[in-house]
Amino acid sequence: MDETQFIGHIQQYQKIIHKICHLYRDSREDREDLFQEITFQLWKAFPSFKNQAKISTWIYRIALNTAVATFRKNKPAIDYVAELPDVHTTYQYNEYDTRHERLFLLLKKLDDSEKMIITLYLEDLSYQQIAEIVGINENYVGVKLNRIKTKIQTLNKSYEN
Amino acid sequence: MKIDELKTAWNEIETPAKSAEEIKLMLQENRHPVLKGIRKQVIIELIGWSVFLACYYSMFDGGNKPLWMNVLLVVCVLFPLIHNLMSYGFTKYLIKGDTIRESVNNYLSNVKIYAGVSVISRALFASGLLLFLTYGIKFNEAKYFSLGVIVLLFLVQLGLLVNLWIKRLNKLNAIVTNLN
Repeated sequence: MDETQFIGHIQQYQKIIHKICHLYRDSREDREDLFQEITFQLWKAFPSFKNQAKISTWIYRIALNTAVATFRKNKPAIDYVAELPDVHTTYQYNEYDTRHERLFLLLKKLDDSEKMIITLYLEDLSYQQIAEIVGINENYVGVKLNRIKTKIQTLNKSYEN
Repeated sequence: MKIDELKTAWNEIETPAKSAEEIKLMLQENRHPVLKGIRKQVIIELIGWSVFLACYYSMFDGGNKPLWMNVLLVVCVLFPLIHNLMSYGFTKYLIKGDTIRESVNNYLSNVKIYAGVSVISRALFASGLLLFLTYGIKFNEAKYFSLGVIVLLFLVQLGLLVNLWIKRLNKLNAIVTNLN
């Protein structure tokens, strides 16, 4: 497979890479760096890609592996904007923002390995596929997911109260 | 928010779209955010230490010191440089297994070695440099005090480095432990 095809695959699956970056990094700059790091690692690992795996499964594995293995820079998260607003404005949150803000608020409270498993679950992968990507058995995936769901429910209740 | 709602919200996330051109640029090693930083650091250190090695003989009386001391200084300066070059190759290939667990496990083993080399090379560099600069000096109270302050600064720096690696190793250890 050549570079053009590889780029085509990244474009096709970039949504999942963006979501992983959002989950594992807090600032826009860190997310951009992680996106680039994942793309680079996918490209470097590509010669060892075995065709018996689906390309999506392979992308999930490398992307999550890169997200947990890279060390983020020790610097404050600052988002630079081109211009300062003239007047103070209050951003109006709509239902979409609120739900997504809550979603990431909950997911970011999980540890790195839990984030990995819940990401694959939210992406609708079967227990078997999750087990193959992570390297644990299916039963343990079930156990871990139950614990994660309980943890999320508890966190959710604490936010609602 | 129930799990089903979580799933719906996850699937509805709007993400930015990278163009083919942007992705193509990301494949280039010279655009890589970390590798770019390491390269810059290696170049700056290479220039800085080359200038130092070219001048130290006359500026710091290299000629008045034994040969082994001069060799020791060069070796101690080379250590951090080699370490930086090592980190370049290390950062380039993160994936070391067919599953995430296997890969993180292997990566953790490598990071342990790398962290050890990092701390040892920094300690060797500091002690070699200090030994060279203080060789033949007749110490009095003020000089001992200055030496003490310098040693303390080096130790603080070394402590911070050790702390940084402990945090990184703990992070990877936690993932491996949680997946076992």
